[in-house]
Parts: sequence; C-alpha cells; structure tokens
Amino acid sequence: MTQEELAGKTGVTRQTIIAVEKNKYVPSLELAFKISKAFGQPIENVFQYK
Amino acid sequence: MNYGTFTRLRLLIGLGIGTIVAIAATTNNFYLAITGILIGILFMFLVKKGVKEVIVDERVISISGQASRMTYVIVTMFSAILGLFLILSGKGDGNIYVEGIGVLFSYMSMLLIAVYAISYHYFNKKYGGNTK
Repeated sequence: MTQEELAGKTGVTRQTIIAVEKNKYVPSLELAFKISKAFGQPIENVFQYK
Repeated sequence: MNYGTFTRLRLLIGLGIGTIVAIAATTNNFYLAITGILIGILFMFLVKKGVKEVIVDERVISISGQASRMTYVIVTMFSAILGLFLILSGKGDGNIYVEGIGVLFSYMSMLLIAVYAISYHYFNKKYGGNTK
C-alpha cells in the first residue's frame, strides 16, 4: 500500500503519514485506529508504546 | 488538483494579493486594494474547492495551534513592552503623540489577552473542561 493510498483511506494528508512513519508525529488515538484498520491488523501490531 | 499544486497556487495568489496591495498603497488607491483582496479571497476559495485530497488534518491543526500560540505570545509581549516604553518616553519628553501611540499598543495587548482568554474559555468548555 502506498503512502497516498493510506492517506486516502485514513482521511489525512500524505505528509502526516510520512511524519508518522518517521516518528516525527504521534498520531491521535482515532488516527492510530484508522491506520490499523487500513492494514487489517490490531493496533498493538502497528504501534508500540515506548 | 493535488496538494503540491494547491500549495504552489496558494503561494502565487498570496504574492498576487501582496503585489496589488503594494501598488494600491503606493498609488493611494483604496478601491484597488479592496478589489485585490476580494479577488484573492475568491481565487483562494475556488482553488480550495478544486483540491481532491485532504488538505487539513489533525497534524495541520496541531501545527497551526502551536504556531498561533507562539505568535500570540510574541505579539502580545512585543506590543506590551513597546507600549510601556512609548508611554514612559512620551511622558518624559512631554510628547503626547508618542504617549498616545504607547497607550494604543497597551490597549492592543489587552485586547489580545482578552480575545485569547475568551477563546480559551470557550474551547475549554467545548472539550469538557469545568464539567461538574
């Protein structure tokens, strides 16, 4: 899945997806759930709390 | 239209408005300035409507919030200090015009603080603050 497709599925800009990938931006709980849903994975498989 | 094109067009419109307002200011043409600003707003609206992608999301809102807070602190402190300086120097020299400008800056600081306090209270209430 491309960044653009993920951005489209989650309703955010591609810049936000890039920022989340680079650990520059911590997404809201809602966006985190949306990203997990887009990947079809539970949230703990996509995001880890450090 | 994608986000990159939108950003470039927004910059071009901003430059266009700035140029028209600068020309209007140098030629003392009030109507040209107003017309330029209105046309700019119209163009900005049309460009925004043409964007298919999401252009405002939680990250953009968070960045705007931080930038607004920093702008508020800098502008308020700057106008308050400048106002105080002008009032004191105006009083010292007996120059009522300088003192008047100082008073104006002080009132501007107070207005900024008042608007900030009101909007803070409103959003605090909206997002669950002060609930009994």
